[in-house]
Amino acid sequence: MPAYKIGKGKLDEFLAGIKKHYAVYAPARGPEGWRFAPVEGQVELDGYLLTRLSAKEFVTPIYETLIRFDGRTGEPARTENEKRLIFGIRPCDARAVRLFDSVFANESYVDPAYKARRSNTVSVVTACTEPAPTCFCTSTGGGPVDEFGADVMAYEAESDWVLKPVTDKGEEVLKDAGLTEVADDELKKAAAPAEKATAEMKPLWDITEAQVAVKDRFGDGLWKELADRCLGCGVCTFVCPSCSCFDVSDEGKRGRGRRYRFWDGCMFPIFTLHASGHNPRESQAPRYRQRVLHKFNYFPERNDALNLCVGCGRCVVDCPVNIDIREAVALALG
Amino acid sequence: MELPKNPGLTEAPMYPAVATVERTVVETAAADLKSFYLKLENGRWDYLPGQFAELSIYGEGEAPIGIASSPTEGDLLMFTVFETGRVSRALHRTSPGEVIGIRGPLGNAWPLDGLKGKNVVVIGGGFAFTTQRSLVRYILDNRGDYEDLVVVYGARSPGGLLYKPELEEWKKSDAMTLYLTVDAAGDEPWDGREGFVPTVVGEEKPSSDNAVALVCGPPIMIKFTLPVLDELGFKPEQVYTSLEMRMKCGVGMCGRCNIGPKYVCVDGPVFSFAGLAELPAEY
Repeated sequence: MPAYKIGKGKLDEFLAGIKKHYAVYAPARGPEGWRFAPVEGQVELDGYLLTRLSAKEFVTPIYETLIRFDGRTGEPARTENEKRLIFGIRPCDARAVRLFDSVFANESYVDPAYKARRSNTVSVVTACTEPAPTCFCTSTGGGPVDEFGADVMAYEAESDWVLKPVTDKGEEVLKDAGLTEVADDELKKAAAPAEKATAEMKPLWDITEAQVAVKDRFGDGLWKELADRCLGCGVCTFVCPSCSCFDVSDEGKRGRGRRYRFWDGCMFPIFTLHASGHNPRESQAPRYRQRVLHKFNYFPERNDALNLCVGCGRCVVDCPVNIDIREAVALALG
Repeated sequence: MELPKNPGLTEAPMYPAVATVERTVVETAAADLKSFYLKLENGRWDYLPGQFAELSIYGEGEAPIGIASSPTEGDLLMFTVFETGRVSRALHRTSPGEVIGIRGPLGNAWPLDGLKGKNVVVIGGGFAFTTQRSLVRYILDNRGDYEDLVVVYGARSPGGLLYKPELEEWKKSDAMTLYLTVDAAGDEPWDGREGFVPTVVGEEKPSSDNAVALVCGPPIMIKFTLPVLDELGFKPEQVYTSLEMRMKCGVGMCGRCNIGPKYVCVDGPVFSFAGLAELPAEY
């Protein structure tokens, strides 16, 4: 598949063309920081590194109706069938979305709403050239040019966007858009700043060693030490691009209502509380340990060593008491 | 010994099927345990002893409950439910003729193929006996496939024993040896044995030779039964249990029932103690 380029001034026109077939989203600056929003008019990415919330909402909404019921019968809720293209998703966020496949669409169980959203979503990933001090994606298996979750990789050159199709879905969007094909050397040149950023982001640890170390320290006191100041607010799980745990609840009046699922998190005491009153994670230390081990050991163990933490740093930025997952892994490594 | 593979559900795993409550049986003197015989509206389930289902009442929620019937018994599914939370309370108020939701069958199962040609020792306590009842029924209905069947079952009091009419049949049966016990009979009529389940196992000394033990009950019972089995020569890979955990989806997605890298809902609920020994002790 060849790569293409488009003049920066033509991007809006190009996206307008795509809007005939897809709902198009891109990062937009709002009063509370960057967020993904429907593209209306110009896409302006100056100063954008990460959205405040990750891209996971596109495949697992915060609230989602599963069933509408009336008395004792129910109907599955319809899933929106919008074909959408996200321009400007970062490699870490796109990686996290793809990692969800093993949770929501695996060989034993397939969530139909998730599957529909995933197959209807095209991710145009913009490579990173200026990572933040809290970014550590090269320590978690990704990086500024990581293509793992991308349908298209987008590199910002001086006067062009160079667009490289990664999947058939990505190629589909690019091939008939009247773009100019580029040769390999032009693609390489466009990717150079992001490649340089990759080289400059030295991994904090060997990921294989980190995945073993956190498990080996399961019974260690370090989790209590780390979690002592944890408030249990759960913001780390809320902003995390790869946290996908949910709760299910019913709401309604006089027998009519809905069953819905909504984001939940392992930082909350009730998450594992049995009806009997027993709680296998009775304090914040085992809850925090669960979060770190799920990211760095349990998930990789089930999924070909793929790390679940993608190193976006949102939990580091947003934690009200400055708990830093990098510190947790580093302490486990000793 | 390999545990049966969880067959999975690839279509709409969160959407319950409709089942009609055909009849209910109050199992215990305190009426806190009730059995529900359910008829599926469409078709029948292919299931194995040890699997569970999510029982669902719209407006209240869902709860994971072990299947207490055996697939050898025909089309009705049976569940014995302890009244403890919102969903189980609503279930207890459900009368014959009403419909409820049901998702499943979920999870793996007791190691049925591995038990073939073996002596089977079932050790149960309290209301955890439900899927063991399914297993015992299954073995009795396929009796030629298994060697000796020993069942040790206990409850706190005589009124707490489940499936009393069936226990009476089992007592008389030549196909199995049943040791029933209660912690203390108190004022209730009881001409049987008094004593804790682990003690009874120690006294009756079921042989570990060519045997598999399947232990299910309150944590305290399991804790004291394991050393007894060890003394009798049972290796961790010869002893199985079925675990409970808070669950929402039952299909490995909602993320709360894990023990280390294993999810109780999809990788369990049945585990061998050899398998559990490899997992962090967090359950």
